[in-house]
Formats: sequence, structure tokens, C-alpha cells
Amino acid sequence: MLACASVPPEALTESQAAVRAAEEVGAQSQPQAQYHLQLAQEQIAAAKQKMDGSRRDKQRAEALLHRAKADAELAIAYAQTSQAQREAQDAWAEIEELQQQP
Amino acid sequence: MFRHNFIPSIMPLATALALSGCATQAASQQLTEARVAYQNALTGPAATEVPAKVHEAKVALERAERAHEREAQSRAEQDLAYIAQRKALLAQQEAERRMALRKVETAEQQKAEVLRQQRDSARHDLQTAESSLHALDSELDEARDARTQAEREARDALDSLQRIAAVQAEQDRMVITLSGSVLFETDKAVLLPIARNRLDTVAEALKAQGDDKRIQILGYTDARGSEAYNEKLSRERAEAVREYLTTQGIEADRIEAVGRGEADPIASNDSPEGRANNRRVEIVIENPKTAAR
Repeated sequence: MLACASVPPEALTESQAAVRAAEEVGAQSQPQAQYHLQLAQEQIAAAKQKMDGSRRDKQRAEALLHRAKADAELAIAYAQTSQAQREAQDAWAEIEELQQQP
Repeated sequence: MFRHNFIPSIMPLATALALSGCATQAASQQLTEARVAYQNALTGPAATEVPAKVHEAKVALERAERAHEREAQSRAEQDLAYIAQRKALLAQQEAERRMALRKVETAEQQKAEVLRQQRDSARHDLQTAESSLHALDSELDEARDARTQAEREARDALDSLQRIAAVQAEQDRMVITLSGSVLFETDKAVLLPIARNRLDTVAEALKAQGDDKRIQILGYTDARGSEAYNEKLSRERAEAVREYLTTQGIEADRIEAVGRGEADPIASNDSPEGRANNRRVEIVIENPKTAAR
């Protein structure tokens, strides 16, 4: 990790943006998505606490934000995949129903 | 370039830990998990579906490996490995998502095809039904025309008949009365030549009434002479008419001849005119088709 004087602001904004995006695609309703979303939220909260502390704390904060972003992005992926799989299931169920009609 | 051993994803974690590192120290749990996750991504559909995402995961893993080489099990190694593992999992998810979206697309095409087939089938059924309807309409028209034609023929025949005979039509029977003197010589049961023309007209009228109607020929005389004689004469006359009509195409089993003799006079037997009127042949048809006008 780089030795920096302060936590780069984009580290916070990007991780928060990723968390918002995850919430928007419904990560809360999919188990694996929800798990990683929660991790992201917890790590951002922990990072905020350390951001104005010692240099060591700041380093820790930046690392936590990078981790949080990775978790949030994974949460998005889980949510979107689950959605797509549901769509596929629905689409094929619809065809079966159509073919059952006399 | 980074050095690390190939770790098959099927290997248990302990073995994987033992194999990793070569001359270096043991990897952190995060790094081990990151390596496994990357191998899974590499050997799964992600390699072909989302190679860019797999590459990102690889780059992240390489950074973690470099941190591991600098200082085994450091915070840096753990943080970078944590991120690398998430990126490998993400690559796998992206691959699954793309596959699912393709299934949706295929399903939509299939649905369109099914709907198209159902529509074509319905259209075909409709055309078949319409054709049947047309055919039935035509049949109905033909039947109506045939019936109109038959009615017209019956009326025409009746018109002709009324010129040469007295026709009395009731609900359930039609009575054609022909005078004895236009059919037969006096006291004879032999048909006169001119009688045949009239009986031809009668035959046409009877045929126009249809094949199924029963016909009765009744011969009558006046009251002069013995009853026995008159009965015989009237019978023979009725039979003569009957026989002639069968030669004109009336079926024999439809038509019956009866001699009534002096019975049922229609006029008084005291005058010559009355007696002439009583000398007659009646042709009775049951359930006639049309009433006389």
C-alpha cells in the first residue's frame, strides 16, 4: 500500500457509489448479494471512523474502502445474475404454457 | 510476471497451502482462497464469456502475489488477496449472467415462433370453417332452387290439368273429376283415343306431385241399370284408367282402382244432365303438394 498523507477522496466516493448501485439493483433481496453488500457497508463505516486518525489509521481506512468497493461490485453481480436467471426461467415457463393451449 | 504454483481447485485447502510458496513462506488464507477462486474462473465459462473480467482478476491476484513475496501474510497481501478473490467471483457471476441473458433471447425467439405457428393454425382452421360454410350455403341455395322448381312444375301441371278436368283441392286430398263421356264410349270400358291426351295431362300432374303420394281411381255410373252391372262397369273403367296411367310412368303400387257403381251420386239421377254428371271417374291424390288456384 502507498504511504499517503490522506485518504484519496475518490476511494470513498467510488465505494459509496458502488454500494448505492448495489442497493438499486436489489442486492438486499438476494442472499449472496446481500452478504457482500453488508460487508461493503460495514467496511465503509469502519473506514470513516479511521479516516481522520493517524497515518496508520488512514492507511487502514483506504484499504477498507478498496475492499468495500470490491464487495459492493460483487454484490451487484450476484443481484444482476439472479435477476437474469429469473427472467430466463419465466420466459421458458411462458413458452410451456403457450404450448399447452389446445 | 509472477511466480506461483498451479493449484487445482479440487485440492483441499491444507494441501494447497502446503504446495504454495515453494521456497517462500505459507500464504495467508485470503491468498489461498484468491488463488482457488481465480482457478475456478479460469476453468469455467468465464474464460470464454468474459475474458476481460478474468484478466482483471488475474491482475489483482498478481498484485497480491507480489505483496506475498515482499512479506508473507502481511496486511497488504491479505487486503489485495481479498480484493482478488472478489474479482474472480465477479468474473464467474458475469459469465452466468450472460448465459442467462442468452437463454432469455432464445426463449423470446421460440415464443415468437410458437405464436406464429398458433396463429397460422388458427388461420387455417378459420379458412376450413369458412370453406365448409360456403359449401353449406351453396347446398342450401341448390336445395331451395330445386324446391322452387318442383313447386313451379307442380303448379304448371295443375294449371294444365284444370283446363281439362274439374280439380277440387282440400288440405289432405286432391280430387280430379273426369267425365265418363270424354273417356269412354257409352257402356264400354275401353278408353277413347282422345281420352289418352287428357289422361297424359293427368299423368303429368300426378308425377309432379311426387313419387310418394298414393292415388285412388274411382269409377262411378248413374243409377240406370242393375247395381251389379254398374259396379262391374265402373270397376272396369277405373281399371282401364289405372292401367293407362301406369303406362305413362305412374308406379303400379301407388295407384289403386275401385268400382263404386251407383254410389255417391253428385247430381240427381232424374235428369239427363244429372245422370251424365254422375257418370264419371274420380282420381284422388292423398296429401297433395299444392292447392289449386
